[in-house]
Amino acid sequence: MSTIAFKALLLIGSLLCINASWLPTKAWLSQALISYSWQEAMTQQNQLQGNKTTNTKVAIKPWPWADTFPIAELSFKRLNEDIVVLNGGDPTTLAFSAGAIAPFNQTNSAQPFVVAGHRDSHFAFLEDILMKDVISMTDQHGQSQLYQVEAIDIVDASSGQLPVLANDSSLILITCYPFNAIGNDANERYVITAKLL
Amino acid sequence: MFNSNKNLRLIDYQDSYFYQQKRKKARRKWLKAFLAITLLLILVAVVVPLAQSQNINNDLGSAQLFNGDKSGNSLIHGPQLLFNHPDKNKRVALPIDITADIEVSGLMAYTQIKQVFINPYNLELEGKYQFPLPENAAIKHLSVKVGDKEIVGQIMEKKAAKAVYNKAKRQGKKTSLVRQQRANLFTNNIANIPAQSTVVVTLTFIMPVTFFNDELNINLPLAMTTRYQPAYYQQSPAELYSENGTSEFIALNERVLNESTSKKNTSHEYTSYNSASNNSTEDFPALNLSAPNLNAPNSKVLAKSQATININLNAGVAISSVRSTSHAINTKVIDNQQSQYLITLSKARSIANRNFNLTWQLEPSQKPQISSFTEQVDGEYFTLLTFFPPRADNTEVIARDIIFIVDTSGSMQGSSMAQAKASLQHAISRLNDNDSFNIIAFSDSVNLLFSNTQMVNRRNINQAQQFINHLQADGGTEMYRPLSQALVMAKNSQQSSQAIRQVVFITDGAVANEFELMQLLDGAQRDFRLFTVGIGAAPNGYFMKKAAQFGRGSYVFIQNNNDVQASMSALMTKISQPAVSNIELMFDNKIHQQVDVYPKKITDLYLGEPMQVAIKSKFPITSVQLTGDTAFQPWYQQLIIDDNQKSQGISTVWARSKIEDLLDGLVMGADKEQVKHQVITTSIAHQIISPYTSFIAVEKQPEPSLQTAAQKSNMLAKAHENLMVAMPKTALGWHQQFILGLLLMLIAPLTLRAWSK
Repeated sequence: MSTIAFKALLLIGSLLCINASWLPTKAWLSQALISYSWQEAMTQQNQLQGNKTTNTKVAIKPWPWADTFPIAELSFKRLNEDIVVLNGGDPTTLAFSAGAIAPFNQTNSAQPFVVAGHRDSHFAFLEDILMKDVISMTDQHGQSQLYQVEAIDIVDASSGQLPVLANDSSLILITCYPFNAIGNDANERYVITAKLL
Repeated sequence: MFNSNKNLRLIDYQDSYFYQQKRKKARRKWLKAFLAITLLLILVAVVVPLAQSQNINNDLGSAQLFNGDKSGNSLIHGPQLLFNHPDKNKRVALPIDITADIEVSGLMAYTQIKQVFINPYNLELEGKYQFPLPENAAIKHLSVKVGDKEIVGQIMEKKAAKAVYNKAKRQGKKTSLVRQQRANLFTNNIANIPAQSTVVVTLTFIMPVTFFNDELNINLPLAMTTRYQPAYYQQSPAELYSENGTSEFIALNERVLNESTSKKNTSHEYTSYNSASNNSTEDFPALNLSAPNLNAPNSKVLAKSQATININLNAGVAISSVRSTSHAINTKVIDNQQSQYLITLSKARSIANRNFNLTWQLEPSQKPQISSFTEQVDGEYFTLLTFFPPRADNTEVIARDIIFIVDTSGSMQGSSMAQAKASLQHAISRLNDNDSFNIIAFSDSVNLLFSNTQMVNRRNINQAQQFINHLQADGGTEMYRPLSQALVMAKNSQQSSQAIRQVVFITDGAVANEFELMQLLDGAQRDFRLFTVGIGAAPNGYFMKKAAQFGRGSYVFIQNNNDVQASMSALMTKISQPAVSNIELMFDNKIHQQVDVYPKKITDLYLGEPMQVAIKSKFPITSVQLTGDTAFQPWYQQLIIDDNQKSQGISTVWARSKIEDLLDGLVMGADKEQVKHQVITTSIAHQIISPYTSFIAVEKQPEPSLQTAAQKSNMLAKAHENLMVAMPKTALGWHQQFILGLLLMLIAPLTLRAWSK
């Protein structure tokens, strides 16, 4: 009797653990695939630029059945972090990497570029971001731009909407807040606004 | 202790009952200690964040205490002015008296708000206050009068505005670029208010009238809710814990203070520059600055702000009742058609502690009603036609040929797909026997329910329900093919030729080729209507709206599962009863060679949803002929426009529609520079903001005196829909499960122990 209970508990516990760790594992694995497809896209882009057929975006899906593609790469020099951003802000995309939310998913535009990510996987490092940090963003054309963190806000997300300054080419990063809270129904968001340098 | 035990064991019988018990006890002790520690850890992990949040609540509580308003809800109060008096004890909140003149014409309310306050001190001081604005308000004009000097805010081309700003900056004048922390709030920051003088701030804006359940409604906010802003608002948690970061923040604060004190020494300052502007016609807040806390803890409230409201209500058609749920009002009819009222508050000066709300109802009518208003600006005539739908009671339902397109791409996975399915099921259940329908599901491939549309009968509905149940979200998003298929799909042979083709598009809109799709819709034949249903937490609102606009339909957003039923019901009811479709306006061609009508494509008039059209003409329009189709017969009406219905703000409504139309032209490949030029011309001529213009405040007669009042102002209007970005859930929440799993694994050996005992 006791051994059965013991084994059952042990089994359930380990299953739960495995199930739980599947999420970050998936996030990590997909990140590897995504970086690979990003590198691929960049090399193709370089070749295209060599052939002088510029202004075409190369979008390579990280895996054939994916509904999204890498759209930009963010690198945080001080924190030594790089992340490839996918197109789309839906839950499926966010499970794989940080995602740019439509309609603010246009790089190099007069509009802001808005990226959301999970606080307990891809965007966990946002906690360490300080004011004046410099973020470099590489777009699909292979061009890099520098942004500097200008504001960090904690906003209430119960309305589900965040107003953004429309005519401003800034970079906005969103993740859940507080960072170390347990559960997935956080009602606050950590919003980092970086201005184009 | 461990050692002694070991010694004992060496000496005594190991297997005696006594030692067995003793070992067990010892083991249990360790066990208990271990358990206690884990429990403690868990408690720390769970309770500490809780306690922290409790702390914040406490802070909030104490912050509320200082807000003064003892009666009623202390969190809601009217606007109060705060002076930056050097003596902290003298920093009191002063009342601001508000006079609002509202002129309602059909579906538009032209509002002028005057805010008056005084500086009672013998010092020249800086004052600031916040004032709430209605949602969707488009600010047209702003002026600040201090003593005999007036500062006027106006629309200028971005470059020109920047030049003015830079010039002022070079001349060493104080320039400011103030940012806002919250939508719908107007913060005014006025420096150097002369001693014992009066300041009058005049603000003119246009706000929409909402129509719901046959009632029209305006809402003028007079009070606002205090929101808690933590002291460390600007800081990241990393900074919070580092001492350095904290001092940096204080330094920041000090700089702000220095700035305000140094202002007194600068000769004169008169420029305020606001770079915010956007796609639509509204100015916009930045989200990133914790503004100075306007409800400083040590401010006492001397008197409450008072408001006076005068309304000239002109619905254009007969009104059956007028009432206000918020204030007692006096109403007076001023024309014999019962369409025009003068409304004032019963108590001339009411305390501004709650929002003003006015609701009126139109006299029910069997036919569509049209009201018209005109405004003459610079020799041009602007006419606003407002269409009110007939009462919903006895209308016939028309036959339709509906095609549902549902997005089953990977981005729809999870709750989005569930919502889409529920929406579809609900929509199908609302079809009538004389309708025909089809469903197209797509991801990177297209999946059809029938090859062409089929009549509604039990067999087809069952088939459709099964089809819906088997839908699964996977793969990419290729919208072009299903959309073009829906546009050319053959109609069922049994369906009458009059049946309208309606396309209901259910998607999250995660597409990259928006322009291509809109071109497809724009180029298609005009015998269909497209309705978009936005699904999920972050639908692509811009695409939904524009696609519906090009398809002459409307859009609806479904945020969560609870909304599905209500939103889909509303949409299905609405589209089953177009009151008048294919509306066309005809003018006398001989007189009106140049008539500019916006919107260019007039949408259908649906039950329970009024609509407006703005017209510009060289000569006053005296009559318009309107044609269209109702459910069973053509509709025709000749409208005679008399000159009496003069009103203000119509040119603004026209210009707003024109700018929107010009910007839409970019989608169809219009020349960028040309569009830009036209938008700027329209924007400046009609003083409304556009993506290429800025709002800038310039002093009218700059006077080189130490006492020149300066003004820093900024605008903050409502966040336009496509400028709101959805915030998706950004936590996986795997920690929780992981900890639970660990806990279970920990408990497992315990049970073994417990049972074996």
